Amino acid sequence: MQVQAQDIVFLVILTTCIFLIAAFFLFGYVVLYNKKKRKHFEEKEHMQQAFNQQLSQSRMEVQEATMSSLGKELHDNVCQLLSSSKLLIAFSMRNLQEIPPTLKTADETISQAITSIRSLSKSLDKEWLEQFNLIENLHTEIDRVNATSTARVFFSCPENLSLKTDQQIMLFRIIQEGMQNALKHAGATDINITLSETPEHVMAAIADNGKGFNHNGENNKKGSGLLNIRSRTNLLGGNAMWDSTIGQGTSLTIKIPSKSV
Amino acid sequence: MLFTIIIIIEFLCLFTALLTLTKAKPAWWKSFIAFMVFTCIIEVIAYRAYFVHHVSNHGIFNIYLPVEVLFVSFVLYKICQPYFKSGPVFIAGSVIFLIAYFIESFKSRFGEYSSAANNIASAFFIIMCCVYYYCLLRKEETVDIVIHPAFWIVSGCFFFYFGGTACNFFFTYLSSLNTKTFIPVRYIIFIILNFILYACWSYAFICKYKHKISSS
Repeated sequence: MQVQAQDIVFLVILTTCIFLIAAFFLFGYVVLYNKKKRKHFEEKEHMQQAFNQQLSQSRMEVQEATMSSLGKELHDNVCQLLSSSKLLIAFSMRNLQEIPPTLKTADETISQAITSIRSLSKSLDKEWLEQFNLIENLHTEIDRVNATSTARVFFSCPENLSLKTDQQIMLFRIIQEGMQNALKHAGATDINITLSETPEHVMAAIADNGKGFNHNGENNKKGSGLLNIRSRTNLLGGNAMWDSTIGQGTSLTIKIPSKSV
Repeated sequence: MLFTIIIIIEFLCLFTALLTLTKAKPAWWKSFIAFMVFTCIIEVIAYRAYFVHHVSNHGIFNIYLPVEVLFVSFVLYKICQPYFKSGPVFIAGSVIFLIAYFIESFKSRFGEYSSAANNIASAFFIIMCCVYYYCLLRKEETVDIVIHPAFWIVSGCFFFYFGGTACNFFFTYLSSLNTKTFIPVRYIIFIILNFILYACWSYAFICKYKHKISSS
């Protein structure tokens, strides 16, 4: 009986040990499999991110090329047509003894249109943009806006920013988009643009006194202007934050990490 | 002495539950506190019955058995719920267990431990734990299982019920062996299994607490 009892005890202990080891093996398998699955998932996500970034980059390049060609077209075609019209008006004015005021106004308006188109075509032309730094380009753009619209744009910035040319263009387009949003959609009369740089970040803030918007509004989530700003900022490895209250204006802050710069 | 170790382990788990689950959400996590309180009370009563009054405590554990099985069923049901429609499976499992439990208990007039019903419940829990693991691995999204409370709850149950299969199978023989020869092999095995179970559960409670802090 004693021997049999010991055998049974041994059998129970052995079986329990085997079952526990089997349980540990299954447990280990689940943990390892999950770890592998997580790694695979992270790699997939990383690849997806890289793909999205590449896609955005290509989209931006195409957009830049289109804008550049549009700028050239405006300068070489529309501007030339307006110049011809101006010449014809000047020729007509020379032959007239008394110049009608409407003709004078037309001449001035055409001059203004030529100046605006030249300025606009410059801001769209990538080659032109590459010759100047972001701050100079922004000054030109702001002067253009100040000259042609009813809004006043105030600009403050450091002396220079340590950005690569393509990143300068990207940030320039973001600010341009932000400014257009303030003018077109918010109906702002005052726009403040501030550029600043710390060792960690480059920051751009665009604040206006326009009508503001609802952050959670469905249209705002899908609006191409906001999406463009967000995707361009993401491409620079930064983030865009809007702070807006209806009737009290909007403030857009772009924060780009210096390491990506 | 061996019996006291199990009580200490259970009280430690109760203490952890009290510290970590009082404000846990969803609310069903708080039911662990009630269950641990009940477990500790039963364990102390069983200890006193056996060592102070020198009477068999099988009847006491027989009262505890349906509470334990229904609670574990409920917990596993809640954990498996996001993965598949687990309600009918757990209801069916609980009903089969209760039928077996009452048949066995009526036969012994509630004086003996219903080991066959316990074996049925154990087998059911082992299967459900494996199903949970399968669902967890098949799931599209990944979770960090090292800090996933539900995973540790299921793992504790899996180790406890799978490891205890041999003891449950030889329950009657080991009980008589303990009475006749004082070889406490079943107690020793259950100390180890209880330690694994309550260690896993305590760790799950801590993970749940940390998760609550990080998400608030």
